[in-house]
Amino acid sequence: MSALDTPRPAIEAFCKVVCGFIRFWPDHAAITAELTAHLEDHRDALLELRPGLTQEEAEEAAIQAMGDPETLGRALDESHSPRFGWFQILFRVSVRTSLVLLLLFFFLPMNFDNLANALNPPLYNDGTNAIIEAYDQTEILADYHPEDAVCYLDHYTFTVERVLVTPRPHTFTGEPTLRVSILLKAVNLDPRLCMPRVYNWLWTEDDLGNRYPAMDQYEAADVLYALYPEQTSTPQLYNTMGGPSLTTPFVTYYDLYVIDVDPDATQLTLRFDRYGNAQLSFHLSLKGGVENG
Amino acid sequence: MAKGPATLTTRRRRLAVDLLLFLVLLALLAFLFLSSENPYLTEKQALKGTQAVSLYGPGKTLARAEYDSHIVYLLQDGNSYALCRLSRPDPLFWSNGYLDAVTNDPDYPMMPLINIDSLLVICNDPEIAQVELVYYIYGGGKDGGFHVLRQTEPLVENCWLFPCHGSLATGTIDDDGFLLRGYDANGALIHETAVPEVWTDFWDLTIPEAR
Repeated sequence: MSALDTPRPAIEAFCKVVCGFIRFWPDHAAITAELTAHLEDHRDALLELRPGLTQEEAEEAAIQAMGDPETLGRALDESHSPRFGWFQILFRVSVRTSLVLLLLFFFLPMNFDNLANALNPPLYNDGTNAIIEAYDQTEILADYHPEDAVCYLDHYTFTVERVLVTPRPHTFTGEPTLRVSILLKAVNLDPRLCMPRVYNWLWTEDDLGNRYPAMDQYEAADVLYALYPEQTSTPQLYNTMGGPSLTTPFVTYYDLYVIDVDPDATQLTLRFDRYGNAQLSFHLSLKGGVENG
Repeated sequence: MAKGPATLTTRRRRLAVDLLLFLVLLALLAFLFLSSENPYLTEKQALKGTQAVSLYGPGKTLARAEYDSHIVYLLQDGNSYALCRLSRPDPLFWSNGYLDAVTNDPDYPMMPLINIDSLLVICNDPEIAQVELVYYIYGGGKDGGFHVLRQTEPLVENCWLFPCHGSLATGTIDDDGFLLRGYDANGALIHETAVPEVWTDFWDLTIPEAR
């Protein structure tokens, strides 16, 4: 079929013939729009150059200038490959549908409470939280963010975020002692490794030589003592306690506290050496001043 | 002018946007998988992950024991021995397991390590050729009473593993204590740990005799 045989409205018919040779039909509308725009531009230019022409004649001339619609259609068919076109459509639909489903079923269920927690997380468990809530009515001996309290260990970066020292009567004797709250933060890049299992094995020691064991440390010593009471000294009750207060895929906070700390001590060392060698060690002043009041 | 046509440039731009969205989708899916409770594809990854989250090792694997529902690894890093228990995948993927460790003290002839459903005994006396574990389940219906488990072969080197099926057994061992006996090659008792106080002082039990 040639352009001369094209019936009126000529441009529309020309586009229809061209599209007849293009197998990937979803692109027909775009191609028609492109060709129509091109032909209209050409027609308008002809009308400007040759004012004596009618609109129909100008359109015919523009169509003739475009050449054979079959040749044009076959050339466009090659550049609008159906395989690539359908793949692109399928790809787009799959990706967008999956994203919407993911957002609907996994991320939207995160309610406003979770969002609020993410923005302003509760970092302490009940015991220390009670002190924080009654901060103004509590005697605070020290409350500070220790400088350079950072330890890099395998996949983790551990930092001590806050040290809070308050007076507390001894658990058994009622004598004045200290309660030391330590906010420990662990950061990991691999979410599979969130919440490193250090709690219950973190213990402390003060600068006077007093030790404040962790719960699992005490229990391990107790098992050994039960088996070999004559060879082993009586295990010391645990004073370093606490556990995770906030766990996210990349950050874990531990609300740790040490009770019955010698009031004459000026420094406390937080350690993790569960497997023999010291892996974590933080030196924390007990006279660190009050920064957060 | 007509609406913008689907030129090659436009199509490329659309494809680039789709590819970008696809990468976002992949990242979200990866995040969801890695943050799930079963984030490992293989047993080896699960073991490595459990060690990493427990800050253990790397050390070396001394032995691997298979059970119906789980797998137990015996690990060593210097003087520290660890039992790592991995549950079988549920249904396809593996999760972080439980790792318990003990630092061996050669001053003690037999060092125990209690895991969720097994007990490891590290023997520091090379004369020990058989190890016996005695524990008592108070009440406990048909499982109640004394249980005597004997091992004549170590799992590996000086490590003797007692699988104690059921949480009742390990819970009892953990809470109420246990007794270990070490025999030499001739069957003579050469080491015996103390009898748990609760057996004699509270329950007034008659302890099973050594062989």
